[in-house]
Amino acid sequence: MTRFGFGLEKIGLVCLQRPLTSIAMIFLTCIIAFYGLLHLTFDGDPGQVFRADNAVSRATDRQIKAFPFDGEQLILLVESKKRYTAKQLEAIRALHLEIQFIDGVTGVSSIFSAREKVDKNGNTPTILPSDLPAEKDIPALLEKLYGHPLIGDLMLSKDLTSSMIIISFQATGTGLEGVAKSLNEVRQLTELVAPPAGLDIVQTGVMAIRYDVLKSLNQDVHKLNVAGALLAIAVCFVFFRNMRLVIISAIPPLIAVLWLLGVFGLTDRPVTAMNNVLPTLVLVIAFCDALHMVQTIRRGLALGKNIKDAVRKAVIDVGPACAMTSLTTMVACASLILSSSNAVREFGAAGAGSVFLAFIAVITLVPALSMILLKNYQVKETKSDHFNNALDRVSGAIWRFVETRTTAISVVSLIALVVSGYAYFNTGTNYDYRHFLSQASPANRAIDKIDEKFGGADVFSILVETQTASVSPPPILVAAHRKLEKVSGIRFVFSFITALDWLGTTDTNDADAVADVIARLPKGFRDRIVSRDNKTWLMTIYIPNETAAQTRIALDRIELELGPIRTAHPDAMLSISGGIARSAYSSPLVIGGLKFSLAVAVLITILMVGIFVRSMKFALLSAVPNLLPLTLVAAGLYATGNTFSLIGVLALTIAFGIAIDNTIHVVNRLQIEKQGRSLPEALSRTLSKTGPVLFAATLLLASGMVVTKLSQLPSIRTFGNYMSVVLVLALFAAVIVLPALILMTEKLKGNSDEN
Amino acid sequence: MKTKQLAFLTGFFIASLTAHPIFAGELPERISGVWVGGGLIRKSPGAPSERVRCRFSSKWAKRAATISLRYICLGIDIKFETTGTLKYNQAGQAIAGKLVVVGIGGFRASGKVKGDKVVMNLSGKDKKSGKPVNGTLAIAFKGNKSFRSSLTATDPKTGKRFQAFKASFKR
Repeated sequence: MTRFGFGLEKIGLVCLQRPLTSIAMIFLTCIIAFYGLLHLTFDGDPGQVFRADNAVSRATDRQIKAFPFDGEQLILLVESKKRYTAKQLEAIRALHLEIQFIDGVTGVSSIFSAREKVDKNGNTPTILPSDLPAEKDIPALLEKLYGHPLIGDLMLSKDLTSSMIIISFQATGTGLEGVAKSLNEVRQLTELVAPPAGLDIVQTGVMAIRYDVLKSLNQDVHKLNVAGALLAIAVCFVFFRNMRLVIISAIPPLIAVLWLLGVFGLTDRPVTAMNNVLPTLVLVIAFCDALHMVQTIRRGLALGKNIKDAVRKAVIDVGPACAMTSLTTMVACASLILSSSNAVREFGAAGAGSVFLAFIAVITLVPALSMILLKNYQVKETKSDHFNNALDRVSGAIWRFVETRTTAISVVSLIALVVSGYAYFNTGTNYDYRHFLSQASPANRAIDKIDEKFGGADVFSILVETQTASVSPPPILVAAHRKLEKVSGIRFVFSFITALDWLGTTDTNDADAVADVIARLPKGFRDRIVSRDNKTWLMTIYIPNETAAQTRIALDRIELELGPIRTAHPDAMLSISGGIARSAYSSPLVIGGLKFSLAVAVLITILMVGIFVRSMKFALLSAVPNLLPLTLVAAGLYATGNTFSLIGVLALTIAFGIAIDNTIHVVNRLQIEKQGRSLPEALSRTLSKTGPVLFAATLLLASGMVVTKLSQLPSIRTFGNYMSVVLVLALFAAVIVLPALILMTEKLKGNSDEN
Repeated sequence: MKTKQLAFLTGFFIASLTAHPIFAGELPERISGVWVGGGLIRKSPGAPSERVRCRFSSKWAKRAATISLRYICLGIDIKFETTGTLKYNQAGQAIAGKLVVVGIGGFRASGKVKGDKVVMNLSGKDKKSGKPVNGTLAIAFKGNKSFRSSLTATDPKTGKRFQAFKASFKR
């Protein structure tokens, strides 16, 4: 008997002896978990993924500390089919004024915020007067407004049909209810004002996007888990065609999901756009393990064993393999702890914990429930046996194919591994934060419109840090602003210099004049320009919405432009910062690091298989069918000119951990069947016994991943796609490539013995 | 006169509500509650007017014959908020008390009720500059569901009288 799983499967024997006690204790844990579930929270901010230890990330953290205003901001995109009319402008003004009364609003900016320069009486009238002129004079007024440096392309589009209203809220935390209340109040106002004026208003900006992500996550937790559970139960029913067997297979996965979400709630760990896939993962892993165990119990009963002996045999025979498969998946998840991203490390730890919970649920509940529900169970010839017989015939056909084409399969597999391995290491990486945003969300779609009509949907910052406080802008800021204004690819540069230019003040050293300018700035603008201690200044740079790779190229160019300015002003610091910049610089490091940690996971798990099968030969042989699915996916990306995304590499890591289960079950069964039989006969019996279960398990896993198509988040759907492809490839690799390689090795050994 | 100083003066039209004879007895209770409205504000003679929206809430304490009030007006980068308590003398149709404009300071108010109109004199000092601030607030009621108000102030720099505020309100 091989040693797998560190003896963890023995927990199952305890539950076999004390089924009622075991179920009672599990019921207690479920009550505690349910309490945790009631306290589950959600975090819709996708920006935390790339918080890492690099210069841009650190500068961004300093920026957030010096300029805390960025906490909560909602943008209203106000569109008209044609150029704004007087009636529409009045509606926008009414909105601007009324929104200020909503609870939590700390500031509002719109095209009505634009003011003229100081006149001879010391007044700064608004460009749009309190009494708007006649309709025939509106176009000229709008053109004048567009010419304002704080408005044109920032808040008013060139075609004069669209503008933005920017609303700042007090930070209310990330709770769904708090955000929903604020957004609803604004929506009620806009629905009152917009239709009579013929305006179309969409909510967008960080707050709206975060709310959409939160809403999607909340829906996914219910939708994906319910759909996944129903689909898995359906597959089990087709396989077993017996309700008792289906119940025994279904309850452990559902309990495992409850435990997982309960632990999240109890430990105050929010559900995020990344770890949202874990409940679905736990569900399918637990279902697969339960399927293996229940099938073995059923087989035992069909051979005439009593229930206790049948369950014991299942625990002893299949339990170690289930423990081992869980361990390998845990190792794969744990490899993510090597990542430089905090969010990825947390995902890895949570993933490892989730898989452990899935194993415990199966190894405790399957024996306990079987002892209670299958006491008087009689195995009948049912349609499911026909289904199994059909899978038997398929397994038989596969074996005949393998036996007659051993050399060809082995050679082709090895060549494919080398070629696709090259592709794996040469496929680039890329990241787009919009993968974590709901596609159906109007807020997300508005980003394209803002990008098209305004100064650019993406912004990054340049942090100017000085050692001494000063009311006047430091010379390094002036130099950087003037330089960047001329750089191509940058749509707009905003800093204190913009305000000085607007108000016609050229002497930045005149402290009184500068103080006067600051006093005349629209409310909220000051806090976006200089920190309260007057030591840190902020430049905001507007660029088009691009992928991380393209943004990185633009930022590298800007770094080159800033180099001479840094040299000329050694007493101050210029740093690129902001969420977009952080993603652009950190994403290749994080994603590249994930590729590396996946390679580490592969090596460790192969070693584990070797140690516990006590055969490095089998371990190395099993490496080929385990690596092939990953490298073939990479080859597909490489051939189509695509790149690895963050969620893609995460999915590959998890999928590898699950895919290796197939080879473990095959090797485990082979070790049992090899006793007193020739290798070909042992392999034939192995495929006959494990093949149907592997097919059913893969069908279950892949269909569990298919439910991710119900998610609004592209990241979740991408995860499901990668997982489905890898799992199906892994199945065929385990039943075709692995047996062929084992046979080939035996043939070569036989030939060399003869020689 | 600066906007914020006028803000305080503007608040007094609320005070005059409580002094009006039509509000004697049930009327102070009728004006209690929430009013919404808007209008124009001007910072000084010759300065451009700017639109504002306002919210007013008040509570009538019959036994003490006082009315507590709070109102807030918001414009484009303009905010003024006034709170206070005023005493109503029904016999003399007079009203007096103190109001505080947030960020400016406290002011004394006194006035009379004549028919559907209320006229009040407002005086005080700007907390920051120490300069005297005064004005005349007039309000005119139209039934019990709306009223108009206006404030005429004296510009401390030129001594000229000008209309600093006018607005209309409804429930």
